Amino acid sequence: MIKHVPVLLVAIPLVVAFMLPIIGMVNRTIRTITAGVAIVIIMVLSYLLIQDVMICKKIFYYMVGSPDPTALFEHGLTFPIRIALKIDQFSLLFIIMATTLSFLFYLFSSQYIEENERKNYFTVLYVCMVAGMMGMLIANDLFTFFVFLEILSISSSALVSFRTERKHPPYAGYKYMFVSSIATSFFLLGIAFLYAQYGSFNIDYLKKVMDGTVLDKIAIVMLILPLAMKCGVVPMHMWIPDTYSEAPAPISSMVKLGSLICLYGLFRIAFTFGSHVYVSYELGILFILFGVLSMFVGVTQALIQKDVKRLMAFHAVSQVGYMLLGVGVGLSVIKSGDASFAIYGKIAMIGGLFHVINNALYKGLLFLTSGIMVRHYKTRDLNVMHGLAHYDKFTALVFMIAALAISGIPPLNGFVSKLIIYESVFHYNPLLTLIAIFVSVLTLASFMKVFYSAFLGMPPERKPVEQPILVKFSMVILSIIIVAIGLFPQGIIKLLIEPAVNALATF
Amino acid sequence: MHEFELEYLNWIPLLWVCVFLIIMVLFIIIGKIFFRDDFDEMSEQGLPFYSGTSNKMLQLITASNLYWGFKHTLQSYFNSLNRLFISNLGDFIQWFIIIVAIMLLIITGALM
Amino acid sequence: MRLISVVAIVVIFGFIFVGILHLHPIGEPVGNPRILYERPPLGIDTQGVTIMDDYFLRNGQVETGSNNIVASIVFDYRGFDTLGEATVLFIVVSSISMLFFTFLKSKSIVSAGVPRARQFPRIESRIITFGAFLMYIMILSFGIYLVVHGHVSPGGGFQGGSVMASATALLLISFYITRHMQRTRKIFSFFESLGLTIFIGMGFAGIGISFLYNFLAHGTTVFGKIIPFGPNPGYLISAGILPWLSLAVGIEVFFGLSLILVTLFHASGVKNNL
Repeated sequence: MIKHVPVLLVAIPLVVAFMLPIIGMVNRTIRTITAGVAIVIIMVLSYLLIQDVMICKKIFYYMVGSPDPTALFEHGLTFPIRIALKIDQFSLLFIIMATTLSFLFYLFSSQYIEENERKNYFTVLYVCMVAGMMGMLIANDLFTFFVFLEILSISSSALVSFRTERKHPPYAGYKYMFVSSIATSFFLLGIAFLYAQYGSFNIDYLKKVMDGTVLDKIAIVMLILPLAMKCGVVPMHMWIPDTYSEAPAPISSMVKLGSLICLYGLFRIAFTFGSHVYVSYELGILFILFGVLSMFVGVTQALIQKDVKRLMAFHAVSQVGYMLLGVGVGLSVIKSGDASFAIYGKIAMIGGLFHVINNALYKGLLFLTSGIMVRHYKTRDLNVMHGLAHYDKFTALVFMIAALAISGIPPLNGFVSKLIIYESVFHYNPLLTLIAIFVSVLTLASFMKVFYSAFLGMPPERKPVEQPILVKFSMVILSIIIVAIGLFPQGIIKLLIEPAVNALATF
Repeated sequence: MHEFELEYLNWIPLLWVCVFLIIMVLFIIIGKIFFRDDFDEMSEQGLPFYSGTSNKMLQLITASNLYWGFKHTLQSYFNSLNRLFISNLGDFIQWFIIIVAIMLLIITGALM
Repeated sequence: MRLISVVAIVVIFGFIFVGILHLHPIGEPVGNPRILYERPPLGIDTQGVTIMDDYFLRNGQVETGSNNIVASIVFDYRGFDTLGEATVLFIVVSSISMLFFTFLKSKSIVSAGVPRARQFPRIESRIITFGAFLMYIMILSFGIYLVVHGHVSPGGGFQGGSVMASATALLLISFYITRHMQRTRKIFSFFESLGLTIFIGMGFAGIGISFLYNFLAHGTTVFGKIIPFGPNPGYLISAGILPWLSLAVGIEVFFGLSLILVTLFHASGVKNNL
């Protein structure tokens, strides 16, 4: 049964999403519980795989529809003819992160979004979004990756415009949809080049057959840049503030999670194809440049915002820069003749990937607390807010944990990954470390501004309503995970991150 | 032997937190013994000191005025960046196309 | 700024052109020529076809049992991507229903006291109404023919479902459906979900061996007829689970597209009193 897990990760959310409209017509409580149970099942399945994949270093292959699912090629052929799914250590890291966080955000949204007839569609689209993420993570086939990328984009852009009674959310959803469709069109062009030359979509087969002609380099650029646009790399980041600020709070966190999954695709394609086409050095330099530019532009624009969710959206842009910096340093030295990869390249990649996990945690928590703030004040403007901490100490404490984590204060998890990135990038070029530390200081300054404006000062006129129990529960679990990873980082790195880096950097 | 072993021998954050708590407890105990006896927290001495206005509403600086110096210095930089965010969808795609062209030139080796 | 983007577009097209020039020339075999099979060779020349397509052309008909090689690739060899595409359509239908929901329940209609059927203009011509009714039956039957014969002749689930949805468009244009919109939308949504559940249920039915495995083919049951290689008049009862998958997709596409049409038509009849 365990050999069917790769396809069950996608099939279970899909079958629940298809049956949810019928269930929702019958009874609403059953609908909420069913969707939650589906996400819990895939979370448990992903945890069951840790033993086999991370510790015993096995890789799960699955050929959909073939008489023998675990055999790569059928009856004597030397090329694959069916759709291949693969779970290796790098995928499993992201699968664990995606399932856990989507379950926690689902708990938050089940009681934060008010219950009316439209919540049926909300739940359906949410589960489809989770299925899209899972499909992107397990796909070993470029066309399957493209189809699930499209599923993720369309469902998240529909969810961004959930509040149709206000004027701006449909415009934000439309902008996101437009940008996504341009991105997926360019991605399809890249797939078309590779298929026309080599005759297969399978990533492992293409890795074996590829030689480094001009065509391959063009195809790699066409494959990488649309995913970079969806992650929010400067200068293609203009759609990000509108999308994150107009979406409801749990959907902002889910869109952030979706953009981290696109970052997974970016790294997978850059490492799998880049080394074989002899462009890993140039790609690494470009990642570092994009990373530094994103960090700087993101945080300087975040410092002057007066809209709390727009501020956090700009911080999302800036944190992506950290991940690109760490992994870019690793990518640029991966094929150099000397031992610099073993000395500092691998550590930089560990820092970059660890930063992805930490960023998903604290950014998700920040967007959830901003949802509570906006729910109380009925506006997103920081000039109007004052004094929430007098009545709602729980939200103040949770916000403080998340804000300290994003600024890199010990002993929370942001400090660990940022310190790893600082120390390893210093060996590559000291100027990058200086810029990274400066950006971290500005991050702390902007979150001090948010805390000062929204939580301190005179008490507000109205007392806030008591938050529902599941809302508080999900935020407590997230902060416990943040503090736990900050206090015990060695276990996480040895168990999850280091096998992932070893799987990614083999060539 | 390079210093980047992954064993993290001296990296025990739990120890730092415990040491910090112990030092904080020590400070509280020493403070309670040796503070001034004429300090009464319930009287006016215990209130925070606000310089400037005594109007409670104006004591919290609004968020737009907080980093005024930073914003004023980099005004030209922010003005040129603000022109990108008018939600002109053509501009979004324009930047994407320019970056695709630049990266094609760099990666295929035509430029450098 | 516009000038730079025009230069950039010219550069991109130049690179695409250079890339196309580097493709292998048509007429040479590519990839790994060591393909193991014992089937008789095709009667036509297959040079210039890539290795995966070569395998499909030689072995697709016998292995899956359907005459339509496109249907066997779409539903059997790469059925997982078809599931993804059907999901994309489902998501689009759900998001349109969600975005128009508050618009359709606006109070300005209910409180106006005017019955819903009077909101839309009536066409008093018997030619249009009776003609639309007749054409609806014809278009529906043509669509069902395309769906059911998906594995024999060109067609399949997606094509037939779209043809059937154009029948709904005909009914809406001739103002045949003007009342009981909410119930219509609920019924369509139920059947659309039913169609997709049948698709993925078929995938789970063969989970003993693999997901979306063609467990009805290879001569086991009545659907597993062994088709000899070469042209034949076409057998309807063949090809394993392919006709069932095609039927499920046809149901889903028909009801989904009709739901979009009915929702948009309903929204256009609401007076703009927001």
